[in-house]
Amino acid sequence: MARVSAASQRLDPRISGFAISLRHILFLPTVSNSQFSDRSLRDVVADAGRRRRWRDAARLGSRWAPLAGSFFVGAALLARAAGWPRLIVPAAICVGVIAAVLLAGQAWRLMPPTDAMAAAADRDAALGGELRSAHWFSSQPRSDGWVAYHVDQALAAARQIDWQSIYRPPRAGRRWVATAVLMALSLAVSVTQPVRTAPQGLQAAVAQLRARALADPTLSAEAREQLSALFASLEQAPLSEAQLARANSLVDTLAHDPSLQKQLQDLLQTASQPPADAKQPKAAQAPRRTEPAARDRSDPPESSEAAEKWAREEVAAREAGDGAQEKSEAAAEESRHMVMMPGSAQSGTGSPQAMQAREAASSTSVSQLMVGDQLGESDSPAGVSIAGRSRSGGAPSDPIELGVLNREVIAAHDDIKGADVKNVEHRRRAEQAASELVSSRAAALDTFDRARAEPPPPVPAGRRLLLEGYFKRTE
Amino acid sequence: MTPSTVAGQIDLFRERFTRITQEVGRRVVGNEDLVAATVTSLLAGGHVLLEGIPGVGKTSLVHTLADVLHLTFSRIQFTPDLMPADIVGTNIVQEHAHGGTFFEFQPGPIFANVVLADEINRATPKTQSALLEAMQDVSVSVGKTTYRLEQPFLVLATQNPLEMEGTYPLPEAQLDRFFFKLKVTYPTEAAMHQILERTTQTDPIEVKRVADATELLEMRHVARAVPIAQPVQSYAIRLTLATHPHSPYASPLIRRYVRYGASPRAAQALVLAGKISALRRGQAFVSVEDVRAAALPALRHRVLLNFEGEAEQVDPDALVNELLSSIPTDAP
Repeated sequence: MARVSAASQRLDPRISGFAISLRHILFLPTVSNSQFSDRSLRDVVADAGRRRRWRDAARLGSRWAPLAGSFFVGAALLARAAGWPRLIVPAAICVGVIAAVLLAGQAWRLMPPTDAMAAAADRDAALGGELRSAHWFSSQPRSDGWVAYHVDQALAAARQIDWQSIYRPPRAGRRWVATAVLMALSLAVSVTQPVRTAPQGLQAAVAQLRARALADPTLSAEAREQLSALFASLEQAPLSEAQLARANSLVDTLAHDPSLQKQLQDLLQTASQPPADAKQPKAAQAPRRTEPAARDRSDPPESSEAAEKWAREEVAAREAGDGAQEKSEAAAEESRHMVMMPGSAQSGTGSPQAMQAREAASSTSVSQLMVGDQLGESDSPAGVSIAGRSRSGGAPSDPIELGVLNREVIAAHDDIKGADVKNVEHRRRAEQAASELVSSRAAALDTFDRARAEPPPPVPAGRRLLLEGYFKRTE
Repeated sequence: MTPSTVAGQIDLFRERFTRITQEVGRRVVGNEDLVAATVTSLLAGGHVLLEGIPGVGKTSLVHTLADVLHLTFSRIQFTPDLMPADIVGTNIVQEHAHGGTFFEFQPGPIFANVVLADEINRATPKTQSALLEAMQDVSVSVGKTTYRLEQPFLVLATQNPLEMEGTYPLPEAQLDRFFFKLKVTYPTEAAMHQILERTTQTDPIEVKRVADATELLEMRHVARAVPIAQPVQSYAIRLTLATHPHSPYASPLIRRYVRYGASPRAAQALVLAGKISALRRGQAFVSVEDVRAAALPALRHRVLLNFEGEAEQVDPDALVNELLSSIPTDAP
């Protein structure tokens, strides 16, 4: 062909043009199956687009898959440390694998060719815009031989392209192997995760606390039942969220016994901590709950003075009523006898007479002990002063009675300090939040629109005279 | 038209184009791109504004082109006192043989296939405007009569960028009528050797006539038959629109330094030049690269700078190059 062209250059231009036309008529096909060419060209573009997407997906996957495997291993370790359910990480791996498979399927799917696809294939194959232009013409109604020739030429050029070599997926065997190893490792870490069990020392602590809490005679029947159920669940399994909340509410009902509250709170805190670094849902409340007990152990001097002041006032009030004093002493004597009877201490509530006697005895003891403290026998806090008095002055020696007195003194001391006021305020706010009653703000006075106010209904004629004379002062 | 016929026409066009440029290149040394662009403009039916310092071969190029193409040639030296009638012609009084007078039209130098308007910016705007009708409609009107000019018609205007005193810059309307604005650069050292060897010998170099007006018109027809896909055409349109400062495609430099952008004639020039460029490559389609190759000569004289651009002596070529780098070619 080049030889013919060179020869035609030496000829007259008109003759050379005729020679070129004759050459094409003789050697090139004159009939072009335009529809076949169009469809074939679009198929080539679609195939090139699919290979390109697959290469990009493989490149992206090989880049991110090891990182995803590392992430899953880390998640498995975290789940093992935090005590998450063992199926979380395998489920996440399954979701990731399914997503990857779907993406790969989408990449390999043969999609309708687009101009962007043709442009990308044209650029990658260095076809100089021929494929993109022909692709656009292949989707248009055929106008003349120029377009047919153009599409045929583009199809021939595209078929000579080795698309497999152009869009060869990256060789990343090591990365895929590393990803598989990491996935298997994360699965192994997740599957071999041990089941969480309650610590050994916890059960003993729960049993000890249970025995002590249930021995409290001041507990109501309802609180005793709830406490029993809670301790039963504590002995079997670690605390759940609901159990923890229930325990906290129960602790609120035991506000009159700071020592028991402190022990119970310590138990809850211990039960929620056994796995290292586990989350502590109520951890923030623990310090607040242990405040009374802390104050019990170390009272500031001013608190002791306030308690003494309160005790003096109480003694003065009791001395004012002698009859009541004698009655209370008799009741205290009776309560001692009741307490010494076998079975009455375990039954707790006992008879109503016993309860009244116990209360009277406690108040009397407190009064006496506070008076003793007032005399300067001891500078220690209220509880310690009771013990000193009992050693020197023949005060009540029964441990249950002594415990009741101790708790009441501490409660009185807390009352003076305003601790109960704070608890009452918290409870009031909680009840307001749980209530269905809502309050809305009233409209401000400046929002009143006088123009929109309706006039009052007219006064009936029969009442008008009465109304006019209502405000007149009559002598 | 069958594909085989198309292939024959493409080959013929390519062969003729190559023959013309090679023959012109025998006399004009070192400016192959300039020669190809001039022939492209001639085949597209446009006109060329040549800008360059004196002595770099502008007039020689036009002379040689007329000789090679076997076309009529005329030269108009533009001066400040040149009048429109000196270009288009005028009616003069003639006497009948049997007595009496009548007006007879005396054609001006514009009546030629190739017109060299030398130093066109030295004439007054009134005289420059005399070329407007001829360049756009290929006709001139004198009095009440309109005279058609013979095809092919090509105006090659030259202007000197250095001696600006006493010149009248071409109005925007006339600048827009030039298909290409070509910058004639100073020849290289190797080209200078060839120039000296060819111009200092005893025998001047003679060029042959390798094409005539009929063949040029055939080539022009073939060039317009090349199909162009819509994405490529869209690129040419975006390129044209991007020269406007308020266009969404405009670059920051365009927004800052340009007062008015290119007209739709610029898009026509881009597409036609792209078609001829495709035929030169032996292809039956226009690619984005063909359009990009024609962007500088087609757009540089159609971008009108604002005051800030003039004050900072911004080169329109830099603006066009920025557009070429900023506008994506893959956009549909």
